[in-house]
Amino acid sequence: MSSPPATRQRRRRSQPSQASPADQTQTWARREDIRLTTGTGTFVGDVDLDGQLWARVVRSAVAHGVLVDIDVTSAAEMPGVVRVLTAKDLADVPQIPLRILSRPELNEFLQPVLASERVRYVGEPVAIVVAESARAAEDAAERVVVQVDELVPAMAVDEDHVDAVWPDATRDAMCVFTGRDGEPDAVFESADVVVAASFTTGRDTGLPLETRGLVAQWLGDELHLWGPTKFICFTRATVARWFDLPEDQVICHHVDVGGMFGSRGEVYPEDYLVPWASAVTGRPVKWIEDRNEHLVSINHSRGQTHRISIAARADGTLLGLRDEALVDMGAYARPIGGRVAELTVESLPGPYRWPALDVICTAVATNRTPVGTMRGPATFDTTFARERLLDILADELEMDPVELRRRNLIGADEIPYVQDFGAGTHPSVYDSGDYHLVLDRFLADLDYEALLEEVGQRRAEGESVGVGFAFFLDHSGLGREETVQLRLTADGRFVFYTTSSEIGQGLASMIITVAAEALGVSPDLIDVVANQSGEFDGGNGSFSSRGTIFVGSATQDAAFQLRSMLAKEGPQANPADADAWRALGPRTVIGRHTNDGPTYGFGAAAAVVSVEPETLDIVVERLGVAYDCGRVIDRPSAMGQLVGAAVQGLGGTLLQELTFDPDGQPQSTTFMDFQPPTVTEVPRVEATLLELGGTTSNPLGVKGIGEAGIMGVGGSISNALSAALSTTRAITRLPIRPDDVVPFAPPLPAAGNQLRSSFERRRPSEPASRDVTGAPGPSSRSWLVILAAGALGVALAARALRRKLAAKGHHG
Amino acid sequence: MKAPPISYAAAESVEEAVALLTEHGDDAKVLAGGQSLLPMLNLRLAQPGVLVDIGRIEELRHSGVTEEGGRLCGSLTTHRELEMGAVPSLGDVAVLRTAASHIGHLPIRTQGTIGGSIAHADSASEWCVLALALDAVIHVRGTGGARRMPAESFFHGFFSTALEPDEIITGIEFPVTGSSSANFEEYARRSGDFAIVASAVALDLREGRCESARIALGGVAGAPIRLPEVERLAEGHRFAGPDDEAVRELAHACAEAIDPPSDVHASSTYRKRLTEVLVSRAVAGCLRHDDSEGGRR
Ligand SMILES: Cc1cc2nc3c(=O)[nH]c(=O)nc-3n(C[C@H](O)[C@H](O)[C@H](O)COP(=O)(O)OP(=O)(O)OC[C@H]3O[C@@H](n4cnc5c(N)ncnc54)[C@H](O)[C@@H]3O)c2cc1C
Repeated sequence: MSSPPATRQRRRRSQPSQASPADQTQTWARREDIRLTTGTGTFVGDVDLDGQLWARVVRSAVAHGVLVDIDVTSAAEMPGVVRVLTAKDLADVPQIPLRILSRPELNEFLQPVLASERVRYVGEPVAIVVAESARAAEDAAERVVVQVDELVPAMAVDEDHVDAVWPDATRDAMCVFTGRDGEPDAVFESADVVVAASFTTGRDTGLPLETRGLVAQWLGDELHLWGPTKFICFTRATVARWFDLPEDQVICHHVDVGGMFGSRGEVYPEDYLVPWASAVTGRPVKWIEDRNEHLVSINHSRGQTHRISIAARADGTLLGLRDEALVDMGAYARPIGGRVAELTVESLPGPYRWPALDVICTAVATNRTPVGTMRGPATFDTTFARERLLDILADELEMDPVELRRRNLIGADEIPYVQDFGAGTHPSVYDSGDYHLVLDRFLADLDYEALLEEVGQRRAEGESVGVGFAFFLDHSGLGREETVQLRLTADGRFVFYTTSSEIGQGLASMIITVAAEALGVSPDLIDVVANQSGEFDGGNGSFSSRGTIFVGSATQDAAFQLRSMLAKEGPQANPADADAWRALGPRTVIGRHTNDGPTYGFGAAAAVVSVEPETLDIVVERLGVAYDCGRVIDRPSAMGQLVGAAVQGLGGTLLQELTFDPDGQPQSTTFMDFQPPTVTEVPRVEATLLELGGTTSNPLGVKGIGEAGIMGVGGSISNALSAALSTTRAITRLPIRPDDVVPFAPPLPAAGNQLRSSFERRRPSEPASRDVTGAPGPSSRSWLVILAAGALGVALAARALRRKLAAKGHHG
Repeated sequence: MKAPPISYAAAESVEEAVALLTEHGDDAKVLAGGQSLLPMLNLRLAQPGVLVDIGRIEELRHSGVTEEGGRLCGSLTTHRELEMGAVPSLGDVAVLRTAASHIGHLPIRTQGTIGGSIAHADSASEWCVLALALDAVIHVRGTGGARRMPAESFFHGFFSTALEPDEIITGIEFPVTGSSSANFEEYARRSGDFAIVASAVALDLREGRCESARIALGGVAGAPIRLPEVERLAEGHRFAGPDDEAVRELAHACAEAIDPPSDVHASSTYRKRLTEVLVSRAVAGCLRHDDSEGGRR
């Protein structure tokens, strides 16, 4: 796939010629960027303590089996090795707890920090080697011999498992969520038209640039940690419980964070293993994950199947939505619990009126890496399924797909709009916005009429090109409460402390902007210390696009408190006057924001896609995203979020997938096989960013923007590609590979046989030819899998095979 | 993802390198640009005991013309040097520049060497495919002295070659084969990735008549391959030009002659389709060059 490079200039016709949207006139450099982009940041990898040891996690090479024995003798004798620890060294093996408790039954499926009886996915920790250096630890880890009695890996979500991942659960179902509203049976029976289809999304992950890492040090009864992020307070509480400490004796120090995207910073086994190793050895212990480990052990996401149908009237009025969704949860319930499955139900209706709804989502255990959130969890998948089916419906009704959507889009006068889900799932309240207005602005920015005409013209000339849209609703701002601490220092500076994380999203810039306005002081006087618990440990964390909503609102609250203290000093106390603040004197206030429900923002994505008729190269010529974020606090950050998310979505739509073979062996363990888009594959993302007021969720009037950009990308590109192929039902799975296009592609021009006939005339009696050099011989699956991936892929598969054989051999 | 402990020896001459290889046998690995070997060591997919670094051997950087008039390029010539046309004896062979430009990314092309690519023998390697199509001769030296092996008998299959453990590649020779036109085509989904399918074609043309043809493919079998049976179909044909229907026929015959593997990146069916498309483009390209450049490559 590719964006239109210079050599494809011709295809760029549809790009708008005037290239001066607001984003290009803004400066991009935020205060925090300078440190991070000039190599002067302090990431966990930069933290080195005196006397520090290194840890290496030994991971299961087998997807499913009974653990027979772990022999650490040879590893323990390796030079530099201090300890090799397994579950046998623990009286009780702690488990990774749930953070979201909406389905307590998930407590049956928690992951032990080290496997002790069974292994359930390739990458599951089984031992930990502690050594004087990272290399010594890695060398020794190879010597740990893990004996596994293999079971049949459970890979399917829609078939019975020969060997259940969880024998006590019914058919490996971990939990179920439903959404029912209106009279679906009646509606589907009496509708003029019903369309149905099945859609699947492959596994993906957030892929932060910085892999996970942790440094742990015990000082007396205090445990000091460098590395936690996202939700420091939960990590700290969990670690405190594990080690039987009061929470404030676990101190999370600030480190810079190279990306989070939902996956990094959740509680993982290493959050126990590293402090434990430090306790056992009495020395600080450092662990830095490599990319190989990362791709098998950080939370995966996506991986959904939808059997979805829509009932409608002949005029295009939507009547009912039905879906049976299956979510591949992987081997264990991670801290996020059933949230992804719940969100699947909640996000299915999208921005439309549905008189009837009948949705069931089952979360199924498999022998794959456990699943958590990544940017746009579930909404990316459900938007793909619903919006694909809407295009199929439009085709059936011979309606323009945008017109069909517009007709059913919730109107501004209907807001706040309540979408009920029946018993067991909270209703959604779409609190504010004007969806039609956003759409109109988007179409105008895209120059939609001209675009349709141009694409129509190109199609008439025989080109395979199409336009596609996807609409979505982004809910943002969960987590109910946030507090920040504001200190006015003796020299008149303002320092904000938060446990939330600066993860590249621009949290610090946002805080500074909000605070400067509320305090009436220069931004230069404001500092932010994020991602720590040592100075201030209140608050919640960075997730669900809640930073500006919650941390921003709490910041404003703190600033207002200080401002009113200044006002009490009398009318002469001018906030712009530094002496006035110094006169007020040092003090500390806590800012707070609470809110129970998320706020909903409407958005749309659009794509123009063409297909090279011979190679079937998929060219995304244009990619646009529109979103109403309520109010823009820091434009470069907001644009960065929207555009960056769209690019990440492009990867999940066309390129990157975490694949597994039938034995549960991960196939995408390096960047040779897990292929995110690079700068040459990405078109310029056109963003329409609106600031429509009305949300009551927070005093700033903002909606989250971290995830909106990704949500409609899969739907819009797949709709555009299906249109380009003149087959509305063409694309049913993400990510889309050229192979998915083959059945719908024009055949190659027919080949004649003049050469052959003249050859036969010329040399009628020539004996059979010489050997074909290296002609394909009989091929075993294992090397077929890896052929095109090149050397690394080959060797990886060979290694997997070797480990497998070893595992089998040991078992005898 | 770091290599296990390993011994390192830097050879100053071919003789010294060969001596080191002989001494350590299977336990030794030649290190050239390191662009395939180092990742394999770091991923612990290869665990040799000794690295024999040949990077300092000046002789291996030399290029020139052999007694028979072949153009010889030293095995340490980097992809980037070839891409830039910086090798005096090879500068006018446009297809070398095209092929080189497809390899990986700039830092990889700056370090990686043509000898390393040929020794590594990845099925989708640009150099391996091109060496086959251009009837290149691989110059090697070992304990037993110097050998010259035609590319056609060099690649044995899945990452294996005719190279003995004590031998190193000293150079790659591209023979001059009369009035020949050559072209290279490949397809990958992202720029810089290994090709899903790569194709190199060389036609010896005399006034449009094909005297002989060489068609090589990468990514469709365990090793890069030639398709001699299909090649012979083209022999004697007088091509009317790049649009001659015979171009399609030839390409189609190539797709029919192979049985490529399926993997996570592409199916066998799609690889066959690409083969047809790429061979057809490569052949048409040869015929186009023949028009404009008087048939000389
Ligand atoms: C991200 C990435 C993308 C890449 N993309 C491509 C691509 O698209 N196409 C492609 O063809 N390659 C690609 N490569 C591989 C690259 O071209 C390597 O440079 C090449 O395969 C090996 O050359 P080298 O000099 O680096 O050899 P090394 O890595 O040093 O050695 C490779 C192997 O050859 C042996 N060897 C090296 N030189 C000699 C010699 N003179 N005599 C005997 N044995 C020798 C070594 O012992 C080793 O087994 C890519 C590599 C990377 C990391």
